[in-house]
Amino acid sequence: KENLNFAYGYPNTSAIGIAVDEYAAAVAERSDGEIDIKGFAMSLLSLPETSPGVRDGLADVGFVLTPYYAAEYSTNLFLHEMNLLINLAENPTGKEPLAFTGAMLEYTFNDCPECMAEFKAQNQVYTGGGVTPLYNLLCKDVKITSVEELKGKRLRAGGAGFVRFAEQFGAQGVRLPVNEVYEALDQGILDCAMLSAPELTNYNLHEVVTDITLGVPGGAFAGVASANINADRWKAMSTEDRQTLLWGGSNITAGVTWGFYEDDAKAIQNAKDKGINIFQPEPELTTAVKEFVNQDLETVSALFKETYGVDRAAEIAADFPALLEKWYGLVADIENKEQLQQLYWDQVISKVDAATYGQ
Amino acid sequence: MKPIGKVISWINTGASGIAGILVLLMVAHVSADVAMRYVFEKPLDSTILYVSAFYMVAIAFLPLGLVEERNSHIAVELMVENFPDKLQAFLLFIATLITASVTAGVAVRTGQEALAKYLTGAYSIESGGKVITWPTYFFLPIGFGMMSLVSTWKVIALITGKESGLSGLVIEDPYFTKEEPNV
Amino acid sequence: MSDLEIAGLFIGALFFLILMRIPIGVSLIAVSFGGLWSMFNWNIAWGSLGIVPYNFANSWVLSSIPAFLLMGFICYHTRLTQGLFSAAQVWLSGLPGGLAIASVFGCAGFAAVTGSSVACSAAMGKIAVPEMMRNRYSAELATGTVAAAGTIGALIPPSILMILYGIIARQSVSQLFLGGLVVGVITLLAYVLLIIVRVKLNPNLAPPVEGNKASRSEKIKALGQTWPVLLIVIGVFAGLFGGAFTPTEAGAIGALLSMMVAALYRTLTFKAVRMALVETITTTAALLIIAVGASLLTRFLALSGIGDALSSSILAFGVSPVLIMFGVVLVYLVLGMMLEPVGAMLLTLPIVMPLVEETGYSLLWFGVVLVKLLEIGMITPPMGMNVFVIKGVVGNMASLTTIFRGVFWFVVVDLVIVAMLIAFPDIVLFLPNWAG
Ligand code: NA
Ligand code: NA
Repeated sequence: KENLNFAYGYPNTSAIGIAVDEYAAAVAERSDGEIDIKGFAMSLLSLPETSPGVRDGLADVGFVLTPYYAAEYSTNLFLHEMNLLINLAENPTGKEPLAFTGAMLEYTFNDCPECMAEFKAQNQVYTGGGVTPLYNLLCKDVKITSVEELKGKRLRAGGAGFVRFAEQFGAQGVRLPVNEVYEALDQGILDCAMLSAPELTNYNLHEVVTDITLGVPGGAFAGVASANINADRWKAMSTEDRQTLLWGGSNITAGVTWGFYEDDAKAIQNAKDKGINIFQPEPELTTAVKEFVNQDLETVSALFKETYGVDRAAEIAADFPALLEKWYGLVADIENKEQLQQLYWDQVISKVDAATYGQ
Repeated sequence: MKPIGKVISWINTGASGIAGILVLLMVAHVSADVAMRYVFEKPLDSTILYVSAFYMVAIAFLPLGLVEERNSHIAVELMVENFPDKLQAFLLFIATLITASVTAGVAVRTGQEALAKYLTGAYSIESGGKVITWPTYFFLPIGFGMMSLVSTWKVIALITGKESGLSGLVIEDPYFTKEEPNV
Repeated sequence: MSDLEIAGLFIGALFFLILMRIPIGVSLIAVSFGGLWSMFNWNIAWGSLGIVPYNFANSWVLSSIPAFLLMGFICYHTRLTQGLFSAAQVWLSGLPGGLAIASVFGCAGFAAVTGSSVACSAAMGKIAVPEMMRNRYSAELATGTVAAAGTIGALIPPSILMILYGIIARQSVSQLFLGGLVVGVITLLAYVLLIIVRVKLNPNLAPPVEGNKASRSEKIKALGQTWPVLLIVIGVFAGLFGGAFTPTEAGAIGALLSMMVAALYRTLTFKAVRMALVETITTTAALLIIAVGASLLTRFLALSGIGDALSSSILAFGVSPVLIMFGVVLVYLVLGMMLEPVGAMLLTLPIVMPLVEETGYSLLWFGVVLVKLLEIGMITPPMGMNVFVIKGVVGNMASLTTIFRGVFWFVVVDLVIVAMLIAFPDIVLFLPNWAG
């Protein structure tokens, strides 16, 4: 019997906490109670501690965010940086994050030996991913729908790419931890925060936000390894248990991604009900965002090749869009988490050989 | 004995000097960021990274040796102060010994981690490009190492009965003129 | 042995080490390490030492602590604080314990600027305690007052703890702030009342200071001497509420302002700055090694499964909501003895929140009561971060034991307040309900 501790740096009530609970239940059921997973919300390891914590065995499984360790996970991070491609979707349906998750999962497992090597070097076995919904502008007392209105605004930027975005449009990219966004918006230190809609509820931002512009700056957060398992524990398990945990990987990947996807719709509806103004960007802004994306993807490729040591950056950047297109087709008819899990399992994870994977 | 104690004090003064300067720099850096953002609408790059990884880690750990040297680590005297002098002296010896070994362990472990970070060349991706962060990991082995060195030296001084030669920076108070020696 | 028994054993060892005068930070690290080793294996224990210290100190929010400390030390070493307390002497000398009362109000003022009670104690400690001691206040009253009054820092908004609770429990932060404001003000008034009563009963605690019969013109003249500190405080307030900077950044701005005002006051010497810096870094390092140790202990306790044990022991108190709340309060008082507040909150909320919902008390109400409870933990022995701050700030003027003795009556008053909040939840809820 395997008892595994699962550490994740989010509240147990969050989409991630719920996904972890469902993962634990699903794995327990499929293994007939042979694998018992216990979730630890925030108390065992904080977000930046999760990767080294799983490496050293403080937790057996962890929700790892790769951007905290850029040097260790540079190739994985480069895949995450491809998220801007979402903005270029010809006919956006809102399901782009579901597709991006699939594409990233497939590329990581099948076409990215560097990614596997990076996890291995951290004594971890990758079993699943996950992607957030699109980033929007969550603003207080400011309406931004045109390129002109972006000028001079103070925007919370979570990462380097968002700072480039802000600068491109003559705005300021302010780096602030997401915990401080509430106060900063309330006091007027920020005009807007670039965040996905579920953060309105997660961080109570709906109390201060008055105006939302959807799909600007776009993109999503994909630097997620949602169930990395300590490699020593993994190697000591039976092939059968590993098989079950790989299947669990498809469960948590779908759980996280679908949870966010649903939360996104709920959060936007909830915002409407609360009287928050919801705007679509004007076409010229959408076009300008797409232009930025094309330009930034090149910047990012060059940067990762030259500065961050991802030799295959150009090749990955060339391969990825076609894969994503394929996944846009695959997710088109997905209507619930179960279907999504089945898709990830059938298309990708079921093909992984539990006997040899992660050895 | 004394020359070695002096060298230890000298290193501690150096490490704390750096930490002190970093406090000033941190205050200046944050204030400059606020001014640039609020007044000139052009915030500085990566302030949060610099403050948390560079300033805070250094300020938290570099002075540990000096704190030990000045006997300023916080401990509860509640029970011990009523014990007979001989027992108190014995307990002081034990406490110093435990401090020396525990901090030595932490110094070795954080040193391993720092070495690993150096070998991978740890950095953070910021909008201005790559900011090297591996050096910040070395503040820990230095701080804990100095704390361990000071307490080891105290243990040796207690065993041999000789003066340690550790000085500790004396704080002059503008109101109260005389500082009582600690412990 | 079960994990829980191991946890109990090592907690016992922790108390023993601390009482044997082993430095608290070292005790916490040693016990957490030993605990993880015996419960799991060497690799996990050894690994934790490499992960937790760096990631704990690598924190943007914590940076306000050295910054506010520097502000307090600069104000002290450049003698900016003199005028403020001479004025308090002249104006409040009629009241028993006037300076102590002035310190409580000072802390409440700073509470509106900073989000944590450690930062609050840090800012006020060096300003208020030496002034009280110079006026022959008992060390107990002087240090205890400021350590306890610092706890108002997390009750009166802004408050890091309430923001964190709001995120975890999905409660409105602004409503939590309103509830906290009420409890903060109640605490403030109760502390003032306590000081008056104690000094009335025992005038030796705070001998009346000269200047009892100051004339009106002397009183106004004394006010004129308060400008340096007032300038700093007003500057920080204006910037915070004017949208110039966040509560975290306020510390740095306050430190910079204090140096600028000292330069205006012509007391900003190289020596004063150097002394202030040495005190800032040694106090910060002495506090953070304890916080790091407490953070390690949280991991050990989390893995020991103490959470499930807590919820079953709380439920054992019976089914009556008031009794369950009584159990919750007890648990937090015990945890507050050992853990730092964020750790205690992260460890317990997933277990305690469902219990609270079962009792019918609202999670909004509980958030405010929880912060109050965690803040009581900041001043209870053996781990009382606020007390440690004051100890760091006053150096050898008072022993830790003295300070803990000094906070005793404040803790008693706090418990009365908590009992009131449980008996009359509307005290917390009326303002949020009325506003929302
Ligand atoms: Na506050
Ligand atoms: Na305590």
